Amino acid sequence: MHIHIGGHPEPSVNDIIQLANVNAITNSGYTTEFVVNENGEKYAIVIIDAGKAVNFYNAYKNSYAAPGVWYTDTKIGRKFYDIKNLLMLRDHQSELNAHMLAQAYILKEFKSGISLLQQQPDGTFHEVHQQVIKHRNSDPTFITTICP
Amino acid sequence: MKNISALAFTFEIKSNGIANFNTKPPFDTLQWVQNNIISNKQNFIGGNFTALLNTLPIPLKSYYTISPENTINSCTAIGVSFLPSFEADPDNYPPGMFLVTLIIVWQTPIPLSECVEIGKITKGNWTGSENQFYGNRIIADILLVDFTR
Repeated sequence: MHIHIGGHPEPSVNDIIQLANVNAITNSGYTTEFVVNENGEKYAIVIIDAGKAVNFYNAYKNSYAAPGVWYTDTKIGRKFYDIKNLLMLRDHQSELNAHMLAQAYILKEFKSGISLLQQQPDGTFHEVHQQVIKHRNSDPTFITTICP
Repeated sequence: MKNISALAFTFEIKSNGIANFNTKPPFDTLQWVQNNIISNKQNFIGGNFTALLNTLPIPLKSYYTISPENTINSCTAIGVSFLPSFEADPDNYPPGMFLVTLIIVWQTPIPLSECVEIGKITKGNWTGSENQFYGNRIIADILLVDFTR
């Protein structure tokens, strides 16, 4: 577990890549990382498919820069910032929310084998699932689901 | 004949990012951008964005703001494409085909709230409002998205 002071509250790109890396190298069963922010919000990233996490790590380990941002000129960076922007402009999400939801979207869309979980008011952690339904010649639909 | 038509069509998408069925040789957007923008980016760095916009042979259609993790509430760059916003999605293309996307990095980050205010009206489509808002911003760097990375 670690604490994020300032910045975005949810697990960063750095947290995600490092979790995948440690799990791949040590095969230790280290599958979960908790992040607490200064407002007391809690998130977790959990490896749900170790094989996919290794593939994700190998495919995108060079697509991010410390302290944890996707390079803007990479495939995954383009998708991340495009989706974050769409969530702000068309789904009227705040910047912080859009950032977190875009991260959840990327984890799913790029088959990372990793899920982003957010602590709910009752104390339990649930997966955040962000979908973007594409429509030809009309606006996309955004569906945010907190999985049971 | 069908095969020839199909080949011409896919080449048009790959090189232009804009599909049409005319028979004249397609304009290669990627090559043009590499030769005239990326290879000559020193000519644009330090200048305003309007200078670059004025050299483009086809107009921009869409863009997205870039506000990285370590700079909350600041737009440090924009990504621009030559296709409408929702169709400017590389996932819509067959494997091996990609979309020309330029990243314009600003010398001075822009308050994200100002970018979002305009973007909510134009929904990520590049319009006269964007020309006006971003046109006088100074370029710090120009990158081309590499879909193999």
